[in-house]
Amino acid sequence: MDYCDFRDLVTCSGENTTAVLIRELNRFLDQAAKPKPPVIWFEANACSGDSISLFNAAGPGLEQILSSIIDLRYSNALMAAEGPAAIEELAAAATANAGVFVLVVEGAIPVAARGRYGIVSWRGPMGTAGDAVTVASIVEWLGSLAGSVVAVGTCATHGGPSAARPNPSGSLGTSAALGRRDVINVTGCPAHPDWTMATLAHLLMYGPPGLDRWGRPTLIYGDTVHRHCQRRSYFDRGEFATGPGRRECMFEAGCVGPVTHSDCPYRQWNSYVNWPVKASTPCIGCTTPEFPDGSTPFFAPLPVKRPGSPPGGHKEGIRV
Amino acid sequence: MTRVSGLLSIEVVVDGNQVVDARASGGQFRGFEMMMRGRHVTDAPYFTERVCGICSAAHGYAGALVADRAYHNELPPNGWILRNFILGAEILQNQIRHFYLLSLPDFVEFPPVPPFQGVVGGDYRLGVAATGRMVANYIRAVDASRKCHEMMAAFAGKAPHAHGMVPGGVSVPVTADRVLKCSSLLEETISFLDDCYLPDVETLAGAYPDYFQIGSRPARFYSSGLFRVGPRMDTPLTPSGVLYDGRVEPVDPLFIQEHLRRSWFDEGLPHPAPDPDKPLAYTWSTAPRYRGMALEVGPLARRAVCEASGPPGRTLFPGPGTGTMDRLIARAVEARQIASLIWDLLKTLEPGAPTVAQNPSVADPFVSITVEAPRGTLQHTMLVAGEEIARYNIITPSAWNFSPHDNCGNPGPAEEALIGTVLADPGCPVEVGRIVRAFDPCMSCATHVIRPGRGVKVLAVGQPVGVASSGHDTTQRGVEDARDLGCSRGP
Repeated sequence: MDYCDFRDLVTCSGENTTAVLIRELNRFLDQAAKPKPPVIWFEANACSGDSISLFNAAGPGLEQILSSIIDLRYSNALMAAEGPAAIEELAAAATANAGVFVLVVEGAIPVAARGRYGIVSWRGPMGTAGDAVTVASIVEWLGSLAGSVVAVGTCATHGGPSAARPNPSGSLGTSAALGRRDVINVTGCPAHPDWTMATLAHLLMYGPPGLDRWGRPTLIYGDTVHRHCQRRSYFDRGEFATGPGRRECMFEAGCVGPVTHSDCPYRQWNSYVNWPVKASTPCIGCTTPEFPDGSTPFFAPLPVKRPGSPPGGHKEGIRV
Repeated sequence: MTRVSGLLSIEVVVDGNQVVDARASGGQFRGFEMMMRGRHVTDAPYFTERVCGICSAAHGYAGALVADRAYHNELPPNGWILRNFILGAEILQNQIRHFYLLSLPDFVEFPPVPPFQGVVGGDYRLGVAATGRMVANYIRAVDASRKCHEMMAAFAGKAPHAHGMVPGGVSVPVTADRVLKCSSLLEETISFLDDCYLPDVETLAGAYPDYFQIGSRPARFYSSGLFRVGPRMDTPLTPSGVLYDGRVEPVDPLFIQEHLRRSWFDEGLPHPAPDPDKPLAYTWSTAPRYRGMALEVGPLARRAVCEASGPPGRTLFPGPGTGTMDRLIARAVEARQIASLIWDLLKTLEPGAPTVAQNPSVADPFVSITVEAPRGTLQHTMLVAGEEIARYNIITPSAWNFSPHDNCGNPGPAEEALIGTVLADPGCPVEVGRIVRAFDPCMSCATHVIRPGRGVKVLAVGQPVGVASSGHDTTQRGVEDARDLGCSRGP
């Protein structure tokens, strides 16, 4: 598959994006006689939502991803090993594949109180000071060995809900926590499974994708929700819904589609059945680095929740 | 610990081959209650959904209900029917994923390819044919659980972290095509439950009969009643109550206290703050107690409370026991019953009729509600000033089940289940993972800062509204409906 076809596949998402991606990736790996890339999926301070979202990948789904695409060496959610055996698997996978493996981080990195807001395991008896193995220390260690780092979900990319004000755990996004600028950020709360798969596929087939100033692949986050919204004609005619559950434009009901970059309107979610504005609710901007603090109150119009926004949120200053 | 949601560590103290003490440590803290302060009341559903990615709809359901109570919203029938449909679809997704993705690798030997490599130990008892069938059904379960989320998203916008549950109802209109799509997906789900899930649980129970004893604990349970119906969603469909000493009593929220001695929070009033270096503490989870007792919540608790609330002398199945296998069976049997129930709900939707009704202003500044999430009883409590949230408290099912030792030194339910277990090989304690995972731990949920030891009482003083009226009572109708839902059959 040449790059233009790949780009079209991802940006013009049909109902079978993941299916085609998987087929093409398989073909690529066969031709290049490459082994499946080792992936370590590490869950930091998270809700597991990005893992669950990946499990929702459609046609074909998780089973093909695991059997044909990636060599998942460590996943807290899926692996059969437990306890010390699981930690040994993690250490073995990271050291044996140093410089090669893809580190996927899900969740934010809590750094307050020497990382004690995120504890993975214990070296000695539980509760003993100094014996906690923290999320922060493991991510730092894995980050130093990884060939590339992909942050999946807005917690992992920019802190997200885990870092919402007043951010008691001092949570940071992966790039900030590692002090590493080449982290690929797949934002979203959760990240759409196609976004995660397309990013991994790009990384393996063509190298790192082009990124915007927030470290996100432009392939996915190039346009605003507003630009492709099915209710755009209502907006253009000034017909606004007064609250959720109505058929008009959701701008006055709190939609941040004009400042949110993602392809939700044409990609849609959960086997491509629905998305928030189609469900007659506002887009809450879960792919923005400011989420969720920049989006609450969720049902207040954009200029109210972000006073710097231009009135009407659409004419100047925002690419729509 | 792997194959759980969030970060959980388990420590057992072994004397000879027997577990004599156990500690469950929730390793993460984000502080949602602190984040909720100062936000708008209507932010509750979307914001609290982010507590948990595997049962986000349960928090959405609770958060929307809290807002409804504050505004005195009266939901149109389509609104409360869809709320329950969405929650039901979420529970089905959760239970299928729990059994196959999280629990099954404890009992079934998977081919040692990633992510199933590196297992130490075993005690696998199924033959080649049964193992092959289970592994094949694992793959089918991925598909089946995805379809449950698709069903949910049809009316909820997306999953996880649904948009459809808004204050006043559900935002998505009822149309024939959506009902048809959900009917067809639900039909497939029911086939999966009948052809795979229930038979597989039965196979497992046959091969591991000792696990009806392993993981047992005193029969102390709490259920707030699964699904809530009516315009105020105040009538639970299954009985609510606290079961101990062999009988059920109505829940009195004033008896719920949260102990903090072993949790990383200071015990100062009025607001306990996180204290990550607190001596002797070992978890971010608190220890909710009812009259000082550790209560188990979840599918087994719902079934036990339901059984004990039935007419005297009526025993539909022996038990329920309180072992590991009882937990797995209760979850599967309940999933099948939930599937039938939401099938009926789907048929009662009225296309074209309203789904949302919102009142304009806050009428009640203090609200406390309990609902049933996949893992058990979930309580959201909110104090409002103007339209801003002044205090928000969440007591999750996993806080009950994975609570640490309390102020009196009594262990939490999962810890109780571990204590006394005889390990076949202490060098490789497979029993521990099996016992713990049967509770379906979710540590993203379990760890929350809450108010200090006096529990709900602190907020209830001078604020009598809300707690008592939030549907704790077991109504006659609830009992009758429950016969169809929770009490109708054994394994």
